[in-house]
Amino acid sequence: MSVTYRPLDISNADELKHVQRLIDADLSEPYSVYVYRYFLNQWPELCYFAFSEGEKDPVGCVVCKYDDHRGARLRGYIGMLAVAQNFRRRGIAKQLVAVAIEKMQEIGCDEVMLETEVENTTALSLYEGFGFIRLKRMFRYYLNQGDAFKLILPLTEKSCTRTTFLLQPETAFVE
Amino acid sequence: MAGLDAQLARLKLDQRLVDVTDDFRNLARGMEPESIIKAPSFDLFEGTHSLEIDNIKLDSSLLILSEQELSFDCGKTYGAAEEDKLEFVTAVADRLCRSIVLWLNEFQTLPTTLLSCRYMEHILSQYTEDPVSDLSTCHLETGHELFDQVLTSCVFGACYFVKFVQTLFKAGVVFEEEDLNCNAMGLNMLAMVKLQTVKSHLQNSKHFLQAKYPAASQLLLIVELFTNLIELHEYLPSNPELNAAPNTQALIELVNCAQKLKQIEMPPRSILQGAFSPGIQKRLSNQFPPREIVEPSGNEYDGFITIAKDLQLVLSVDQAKTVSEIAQLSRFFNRIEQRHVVARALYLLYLMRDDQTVLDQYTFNDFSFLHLQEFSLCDTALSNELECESGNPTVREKFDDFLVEISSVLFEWYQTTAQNPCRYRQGYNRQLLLWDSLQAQIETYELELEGQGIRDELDADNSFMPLTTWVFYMKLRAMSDFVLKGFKLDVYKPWEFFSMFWYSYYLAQHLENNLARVSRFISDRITAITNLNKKLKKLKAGEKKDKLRDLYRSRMATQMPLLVRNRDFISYLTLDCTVIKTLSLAQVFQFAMLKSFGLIDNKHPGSGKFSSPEFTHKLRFKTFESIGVPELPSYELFQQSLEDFVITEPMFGSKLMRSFDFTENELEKVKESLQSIFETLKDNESQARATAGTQLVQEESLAYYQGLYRSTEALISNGRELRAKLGNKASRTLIEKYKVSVSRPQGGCPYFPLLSLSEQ
Repeated sequence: MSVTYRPLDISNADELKHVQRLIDADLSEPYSVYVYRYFLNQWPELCYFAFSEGEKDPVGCVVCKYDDHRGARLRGYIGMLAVAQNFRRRGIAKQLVAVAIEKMQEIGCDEVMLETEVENTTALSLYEGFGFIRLKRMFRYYLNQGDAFKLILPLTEKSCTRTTFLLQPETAFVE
Repeated sequence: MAGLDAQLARLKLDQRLVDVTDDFRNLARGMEPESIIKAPSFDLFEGTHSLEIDNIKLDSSLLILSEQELSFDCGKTYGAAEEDKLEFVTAVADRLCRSIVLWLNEFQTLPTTLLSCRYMEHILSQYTEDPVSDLSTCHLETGHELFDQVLTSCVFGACYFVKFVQTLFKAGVVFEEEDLNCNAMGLNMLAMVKLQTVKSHLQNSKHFLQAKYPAASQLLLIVELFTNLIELHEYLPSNPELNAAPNTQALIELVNCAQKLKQIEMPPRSILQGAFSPGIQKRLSNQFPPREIVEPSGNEYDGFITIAKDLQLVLSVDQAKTVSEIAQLSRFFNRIEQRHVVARALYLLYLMRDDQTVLDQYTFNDFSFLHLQEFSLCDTALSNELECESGNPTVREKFDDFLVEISSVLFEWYQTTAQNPCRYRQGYNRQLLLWDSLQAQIETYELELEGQGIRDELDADNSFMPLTTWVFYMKLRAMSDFVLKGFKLDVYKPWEFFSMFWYSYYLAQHLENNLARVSRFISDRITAITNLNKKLKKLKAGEKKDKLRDLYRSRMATQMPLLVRNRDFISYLTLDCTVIKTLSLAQVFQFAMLKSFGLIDNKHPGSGKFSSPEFTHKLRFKTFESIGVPELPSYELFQQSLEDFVITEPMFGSKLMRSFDFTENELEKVKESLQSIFETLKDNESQARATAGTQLVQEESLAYYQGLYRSTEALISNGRELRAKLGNKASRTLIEKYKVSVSRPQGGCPYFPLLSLSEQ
């Protein structure tokens, strides 16, 4: 069974529904349509679907964004990742993350960031396998009261310098 | 669209409204799927915090209530006979108490706990509508005093306690949705009401129960519990009476009430008949997704005991005799075990008051000065210059400016100590830049002073610089805490253990050197004073001898006691530092032994494709990258250090055994150091005050060092286990048999998890 990956087509109304279906089935955090719109309308090129041979609808998706982080570096962000229950343990999530990071690297991101539940060892293992490290722990971060780790993957040297020291003097002064 | 149709069907159109449904549908039909209608100024990110109508997970108006919940009426009595009414009121009041604990101790929200009570909603809605300070607009009108008087009192008590917590929360020490949920759904928590008003109401209820309901012992206890609970409001720094020692009687009484109430079985939920429901989330303004109400489990009264005990601990800061004792209380009170959110929030407010004083005893500047004085400033050229009436006013002026700077960083330090464990570590991350910048500035100032002859010599080549020395000490402690707390929070993976423990060792080495400088300087000053007496004995009677005698007596009276105390305190800090240094070194050795067999490496196993081991290392040490002193060792130096520790041929076996022996010997010495610390902490029993300044946190500080002792023993036995499993011959095949995993010894210090070997 082969799996193909492609970015979202924002002009196709059904694609938002596919993302909602995949994510809502899986994540503990309830997301409103605005959250999806926030990501998909602004960074459609950073949302990827996984299609399994013989399946009409996508079986997995990753939703990302990138933006300027405090005027100092370009930060990519993995917001959501889900694979339908029946298609797990086939490396689909890993491949979705890989294509997303490749895209963020191509865009020029200095680092990629995400949060994940401390108890979610599967997700931690997946991301740590890409070179992410746990930068900090956040107390009762999720609605289910669980702590989260903030994970970062450094793509360039800029990721390794404190923001304050990346800013021009006048910018630092304003901040 | 189905959702929209349902919404439209619910709308009642009258003459004031125009039906635009068709226009809306026609326009919507022509929209592209990616179109979003929004004001240009509206950032889509703001929308991510919105709720969504008709989404079952986000729209609390879709909550379904039971028939009983829907028909519940606060204007009616519940219970047929008199004893049934008493049972009902007692059950509601009991649930209110339990809801307080669920809200605070279990980190739940107000709407799912206290505000799920219909009586709370009813009375607070009345008060919000007409907020009068005598509470005359808030009442139940059932015509039965158990409800209209006693239950109302309990509701007032609960509301007043929420108001107290809200006030604490506004101080900004604890964080919304992280430490505490204070969303009161737009209800006014008796903002204008004075404590005395609620106290009187509760007092009346108490008298009423005593007179008319001799069997209502449980309800009476609950009324007393609320009476003690609202008394906590007195501890707020805005209370004008607070300059007296805090009256902790209410806390003692609170514990007594809770002890008795916890013996009584929790009433069955069925008695409550819909008095607690999620309905408020439907009826009032709700910015959060719908949530089920939280059911008590039965042990909630223990929660009040926790609140009271933790508050007693933080209020004991009032008994501190020195700033070192205040600093030590801050260092230990929230270190091993997270203290109750109310105690953590109150601590900083209580310590550092709105009137710019510390405990109403010191100004912020005096407080900062005493930190310096109780460490390195006593009997220095600078302190003499500051004390001298004919001293240079510019020196004083600039020194005072630095005290302001120091106060602001110290404030951050004290605030950090009261935060949750994650924020605690992050607080140090922020502070490091502040300490570093302060150190650079203060060092320049001290060099200027030296130019003016205000200088203390440590030896022929080095000056002491008492201010820089203290700032450096504080900075190193913050750096070390930041590193070690990462282990507690499970932030580091096993491959990072070498770098983090080696760096911890490096920091401890700097700290140890710094403390040795202070110790040497203080000893010299003590010797100088003692020598005055020797000189005195040699002098013949006369004016010169009289003058020297006066000087000797004055220095013995003013400087000597503080110098001796500082010397002892530094000795304790040195032991503390040595323990951390050696434990870190032992970890480094054990990592290197495992690496010598190829069982572990210090490079991120997954950093190849998109990143590099160097980037991940540098990202991990980003916090320290800009620190001037001590300079962050280069990536290459970290690598080289590991290579230096790793055992290679020739004589692999004997080198390995020497490493094991050395580590075990060093760890045995740590146990001795810890024994000395235990003695120091227990000095409380024999001396007026403990030399470690831990008088007020003896139990907590002992627990911390006992944890370190257990970790030391665990490292010793882990070393022996590694010795047995690894053997003494170089081998690369053990990786097929063993894997490295992280273990945390029971009762051990969370800063020192172990790298153990287990079968594959």
